[in-house]
Amino acid sequence: MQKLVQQRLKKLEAMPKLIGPVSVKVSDVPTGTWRYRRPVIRHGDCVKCGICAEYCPCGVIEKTEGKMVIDYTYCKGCGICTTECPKKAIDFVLESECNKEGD
Amino acid sequence: MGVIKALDGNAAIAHGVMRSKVQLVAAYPITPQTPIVETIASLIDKKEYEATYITAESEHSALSAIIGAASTGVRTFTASASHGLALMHELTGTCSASRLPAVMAVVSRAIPGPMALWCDHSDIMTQRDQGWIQLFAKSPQEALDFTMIAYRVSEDERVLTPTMVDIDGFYCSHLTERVDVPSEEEAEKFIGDFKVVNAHLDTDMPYAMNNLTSPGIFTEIKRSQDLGMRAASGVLDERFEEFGNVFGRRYSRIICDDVEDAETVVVCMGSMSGTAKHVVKQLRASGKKVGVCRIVAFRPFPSRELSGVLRGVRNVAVIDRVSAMGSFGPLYEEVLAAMNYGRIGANAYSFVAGLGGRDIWEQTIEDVIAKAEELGARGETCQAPIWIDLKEEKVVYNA
Amino acid sequence: MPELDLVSKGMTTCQGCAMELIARAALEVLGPKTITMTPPSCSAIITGNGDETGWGIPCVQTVLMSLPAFASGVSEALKIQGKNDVKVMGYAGDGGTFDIGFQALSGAIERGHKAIYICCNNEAYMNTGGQRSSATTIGATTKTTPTGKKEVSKNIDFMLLHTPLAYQATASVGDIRDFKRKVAKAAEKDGPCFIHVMSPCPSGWKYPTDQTIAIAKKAIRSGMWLLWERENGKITINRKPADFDAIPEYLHSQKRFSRLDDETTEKIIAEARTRYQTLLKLSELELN
Repeated sequence: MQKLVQQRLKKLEAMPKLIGPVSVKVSDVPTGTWRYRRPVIRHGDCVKCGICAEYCPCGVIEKTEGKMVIDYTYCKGCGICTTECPKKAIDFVLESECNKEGD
Repeated sequence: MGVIKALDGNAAIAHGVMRSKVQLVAAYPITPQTPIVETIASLIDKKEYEATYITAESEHSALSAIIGAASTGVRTFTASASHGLALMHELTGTCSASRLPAVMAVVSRAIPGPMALWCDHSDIMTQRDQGWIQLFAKSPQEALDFTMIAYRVSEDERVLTPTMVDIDGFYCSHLTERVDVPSEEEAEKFIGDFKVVNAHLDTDMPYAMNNLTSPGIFTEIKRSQDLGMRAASGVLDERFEEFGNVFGRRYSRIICDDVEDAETVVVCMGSMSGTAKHVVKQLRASGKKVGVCRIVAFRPFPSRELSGVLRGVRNVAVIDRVSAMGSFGPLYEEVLAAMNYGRIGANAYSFVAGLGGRDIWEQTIEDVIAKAEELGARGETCQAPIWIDLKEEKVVYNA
Repeated sequence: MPELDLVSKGMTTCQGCAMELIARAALEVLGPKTITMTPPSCSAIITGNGDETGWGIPCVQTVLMSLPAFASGVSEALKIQGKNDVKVMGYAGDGGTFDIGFQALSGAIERGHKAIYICCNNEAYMNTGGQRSSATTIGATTKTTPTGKKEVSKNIDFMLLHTPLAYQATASVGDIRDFKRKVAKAAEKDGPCFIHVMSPCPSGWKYPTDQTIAIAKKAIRSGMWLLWERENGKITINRKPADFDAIPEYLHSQKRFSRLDDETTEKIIAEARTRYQTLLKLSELELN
């Protein structure tokens, strides 16, 4: 579960009854299902500069335990990270290929 | 103790705003409302009144700023008329649906076209279904009092619905009368500090307001709005009572004169009701059984109360200060619905009068009553509105 | 990455949407003590629908015509409440800024309310399917200019030069660090701030989704998009265009310019050069 949803769930418990058009939940669409190509980081070539995360529109790339990690639940597969990576260390792989390899 | 001042309707509203401890005013000048915002600006400037005044660059922006401020959690006021109210139209719906308790003074002026500066109710009637409580004052004193009452009703948790306080352009807005302006201490007995009781913009409790709404929930949100509006009837009664106890001036959602045994009753709103009351008194003196019923709260409409008044009446003459071209006036339709509510079988006739600032004289009211009685005696139904003060010879029409 | 997520990951903005990235970057700088508002536009997708919202901060969906006036009301109400540490961010597109919302914008700036107005310029009404706006580049095809727009776009930045903005800047999603720096600067100001951000749109400009940042960078490099800021009466140019002759490459990378003739291309290049020359001269002046 993404952090924002967790934060909001906590707040929701203390939320008073509100009247009118009010949206209290966080949009949480698993947009990863939109993807037909998947960015895959070759960790050996990755220098962890973080540019991919900086330019990811969906905010799904994070540095975790010393390496860049993509959250495929939400990654829409736009491919911006593959283009912007200065080391060209992110492959853009067809989802169908990933499935074949059991990724 | 209050102070007795000679104020016109506009200045009275400005003093009502000050005494209601409004924190933020945003407005754009328009005739005949301009003196309200001028007076408020001047009171603030002279440090008699502490508030923020946003000099918006349009009425659209004025109401937008009001909604922004009300969403953040402060007490707000704006005023408009005619074109300005038309420009606000999309926002009046936003404000009420967001359940923001703003108050607006509407100084009624004909909506174009043709271009006109003078009074009729075509401006406020465009707003009748926008979800605002609508109170029609007939005098400067009422204008001040209704403004204060409006805040208490709009901000009530059971209501959370904005209010328009309507006065007739020039007839009331520029009519100077004796007005009892409550002192700060006296007003304090009725008006408290603004308290946020519903959704607002708070960084400690983030959520979205006024979002896109799907067919799955739109109806329910509208219904809850409708219930809030309906609850305003009872809350208005409570606040009128409380206001009367504090200030000694008593009001109700409909105010009637001489209706008890009346055969013919005039139903009207706003400044013309003073003239109607006067005419009715004179006709009573000559033995005619006539009465007048003034609608103070047009929204929520006092259907039950009105049907109670009209029970046993033979003829009902409804005067709309607006023409619903091709159909009947809005007040007439409300009266018919109220009559149906109470299974009242009286004759009801629709009259159009006083458009674009045409004066409603005693003679106009006498003509209305005579016409209603004449049609009633013949047992005729109302087939079309009667343009009672029309100069027939000036009507240009390609037959 | 910020400690707190202030924008949800699971939102239905298009693949490769620059506007989404701009929102994330802005809030990374402004933090949770920010109130935002969006007009009906692509940015309203973040505000969400039904009982869901993409923002982790308080937000409102305003009407299209007067978001800046709404911000005025919020800003003044916060002042009344003594909440001086809360920032107000208007987040609109070019339609709501250049066209229908321009009057309200000019009014709010003139009155001097403290608020940061961010305009994500994707050069058309993209949320309604891509109709031309006054920000659309000449020659670009849109749903309402099927053979290419005939008029040059409105230069809103130059129009706003003579307004009492506490801070004015152009920025681009192609240089996100520069954008964040500018947002941080705006956050320090006690008056109206306007940041105009280039926000390429894969759906409307018709290019592959991975090219959003690359195209924005091409625009900066070729002088199609100038990066500058104005404060204290002085214009500072942040980046000198590298090569105006690279403009055709920028244009050809987008299918919306596929109907462009040589004459219009020349016109676009000439206009870009003039724009830069004007800016250079302006940067030598004391503006107020």
